[in-house]
Amino acid sequence: MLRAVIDTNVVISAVLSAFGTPAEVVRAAGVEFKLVWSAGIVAESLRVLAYEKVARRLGAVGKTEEARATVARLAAGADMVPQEYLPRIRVVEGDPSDDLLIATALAGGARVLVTGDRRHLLSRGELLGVRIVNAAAFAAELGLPGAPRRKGTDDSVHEPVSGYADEDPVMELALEAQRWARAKARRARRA
Amino acid sequence: MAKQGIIPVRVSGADRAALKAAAGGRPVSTWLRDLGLAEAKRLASTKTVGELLDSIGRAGPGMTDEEAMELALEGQRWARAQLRRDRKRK
Repeated sequence: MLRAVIDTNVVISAVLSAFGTPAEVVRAAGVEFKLVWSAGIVAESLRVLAYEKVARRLGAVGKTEEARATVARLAAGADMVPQEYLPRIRVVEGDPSDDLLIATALAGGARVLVTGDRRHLLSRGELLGVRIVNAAAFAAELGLPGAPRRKGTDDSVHEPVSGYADEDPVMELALEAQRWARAKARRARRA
Repeated sequence: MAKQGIIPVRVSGADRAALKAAAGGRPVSTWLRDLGLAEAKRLASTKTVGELLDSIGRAGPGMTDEEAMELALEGQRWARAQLRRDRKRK
């Protein structure tokens, strides 16, 4: 099965437009392709759900918990790359935070990164052998029926930040979650 | 056997101190509840991604893909800036 990393912005977009093209891709995770993720991406997704404008939108329709559960469910079904296996690379000019996505793809054996970040990622097309596509292109590649076709990309610019989220509390929680899931899997195998 | 969510509500002794530090002096259980993670875990263990998205979609934040991606990227920038501030504070 094809292995792919999905950027935080695609997941959040899917939650905000649940019948749109990014949502089609997210729904296909684990069915049409294997999602490869790492704790940093989970942590960032949870953080973005707490962003005031996003939280207000979801809160207004009483779906905050479902949105968080979507992230948790995706993570539960994903191949989570252990933090210690992520290579320390610096390849994305202008936004080193995006290096985590490429590192996750490389360590997790994914050859595709799905993102809506046109400026730093989509414009590159490919980095270190990882193909970078938007949700619409990936949906077409998978042959997904797709939602009413609306444009799914934008011209936004990311602020550069440095390094990984090693000391982020949410990251710590995500790492703990990863340990918990692994321990549970070990127990299940033993049983 | 399928994994049932990934958000922990039970933690080992070794991780308790880290979680307490992350909670910033508040009770860890309160902090987790405020994050909504315990509830998220419950939902994630009973519903598929498709069911969750259907439920959200029916309630309808009502955005186009383009609007949704714009807001998602804005949120991502905010999250990264916040993380950077948090790291500077430490």
